[in-house]
Amino acid sequence: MNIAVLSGKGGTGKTTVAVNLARVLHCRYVDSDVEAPNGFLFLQPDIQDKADVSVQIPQIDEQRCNYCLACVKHCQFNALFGTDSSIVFFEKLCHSCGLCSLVCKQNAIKEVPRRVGYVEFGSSAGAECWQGVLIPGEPVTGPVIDALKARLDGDLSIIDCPPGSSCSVVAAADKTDLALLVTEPTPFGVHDLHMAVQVTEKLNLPRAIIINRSEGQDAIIQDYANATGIPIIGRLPFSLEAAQIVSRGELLVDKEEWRQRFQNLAEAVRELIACTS
Amino acid sequence: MHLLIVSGKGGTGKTTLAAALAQLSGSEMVIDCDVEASNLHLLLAENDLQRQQFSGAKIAKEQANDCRRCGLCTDYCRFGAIHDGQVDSNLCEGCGVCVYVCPENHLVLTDMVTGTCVLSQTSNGLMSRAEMEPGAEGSGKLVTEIRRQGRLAVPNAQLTLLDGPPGLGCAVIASMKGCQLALVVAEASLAGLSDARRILALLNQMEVEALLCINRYDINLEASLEIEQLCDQQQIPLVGKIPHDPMVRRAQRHNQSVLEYPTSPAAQAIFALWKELRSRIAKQGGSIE
Repeated sequence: MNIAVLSGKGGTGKTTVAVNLARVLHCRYVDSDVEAPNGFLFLQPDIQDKADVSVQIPQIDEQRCNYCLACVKHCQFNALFGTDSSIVFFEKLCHSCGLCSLVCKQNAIKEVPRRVGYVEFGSSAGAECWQGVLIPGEPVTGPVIDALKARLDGDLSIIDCPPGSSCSVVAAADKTDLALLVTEPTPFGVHDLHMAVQVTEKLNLPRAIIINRSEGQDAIIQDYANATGIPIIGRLPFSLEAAQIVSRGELLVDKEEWRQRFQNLAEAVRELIACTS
Repeated sequence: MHLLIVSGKGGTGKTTLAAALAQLSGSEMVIDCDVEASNLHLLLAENDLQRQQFSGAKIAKEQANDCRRCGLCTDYCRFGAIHDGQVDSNLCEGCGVCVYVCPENHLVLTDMVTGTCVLSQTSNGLMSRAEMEPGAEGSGKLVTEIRRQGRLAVPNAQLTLLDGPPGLGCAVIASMKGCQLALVVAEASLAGLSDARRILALLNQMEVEALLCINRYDINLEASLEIEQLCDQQQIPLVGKIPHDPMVRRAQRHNQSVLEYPTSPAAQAIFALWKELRSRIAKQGGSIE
């Protein structure tokens, strides 16, 4: 059972919800926000294993190349540029699809690995913690996210997803079993919640809303939930103290009143799991 | 002069600050580069002048003729996006490998609409933004396109203000290209510090001059101090410190700019920040009214 935590808008509390929920559920935490991974700051896991994430890129053998430019013409990502005497490769544009080496009749293209990030595996308080980290300057997140997801084994895992609504979010949330949508009761919050909801629709995921920085009625989110039929399964109240705790990289569940709130949330999540499986 | 507001971490206050700076600077062109979750128009846009679909990616499509289920496409697709001749649109990256290996011409690459580019009127000038298709590929290309449309709409703008996306992947890189100056909005927290470090590394690689401000600095004075030390070490000018202020939240709830509450501590800090920023822009050779 894999649970994706997403939000559309950044900074709504995805990581706060994901790490604290993982702690009370005693389950695996997976940080797939590889551009800005922060979950480990809170969980402080002992790292037991680390692996590089590489992508395959073409290496052109100039001895064999006859500059037919078939590779240049076929590349959909403009990663290859050629003249009648040279071929230039733009590694950051490459999607590692392998088409250039397939079309090369001269066998002049060999694929070689290029490191774009790494994944780390550890444990904290007896529960597994995984994260993926993209190297700054690398544009493509998919391979790092895929390296995490390839290790999922069916054990209950909370997947902390990136913000936004692009292919990175799809990579992180695809083939999970449940989406928890963290939002805040502001016009920005509901606007971006709708973006995240549309992604979960594309992926056919059951979903539920968690309101962070709740101010009681939260009419703006309540109206959206009523209109879409998506249940609200929890509210975490707005609190300056909570903001301070989170800013220090501490877990909210270490404080009794917040522990209770997350236990209630965990109970609601367990009920959802029972319904969806 | 292209000035990008960026942060690494989401929710640090980029858009709130961008809206205020758009008002203070009177910039003729504002670009919302957060095409995946654009919010700036909620604060600034008055009406849309132009909407245009953009195809920033390709996708494989099945043709009517029969597939013999030879499985070559499945074997060669590295994205796990095709099974029994049926394309999974969520996973297809539009590379064309399946089209190339298919012996039956069952597959063809087609353009995919990845978003809608919108040109909007604001009270100062124009805004170029986009509504990305949920889950689409190529957010970076969409950013490049709205920046191009911004240049077309206002050629030679004295100041183009860009509200950046969170993270540091393709959309952020596309937002940074060709910018002269970037203002990093760092949140006073451990996560904010960690993400500020990463975004500064990227700005350095992209050779964009960085400035930094700390938002809600008094939430965690220790983290705030660490961010200041980071600025010292890397010789990044600290151009402002904005305090936590309940009026910001109030403004957000009502879709208002924080400058609607000019006596609030946050607005006061943003006025001071703008003064500092303006002199930095002038040093860079930009001219502002």
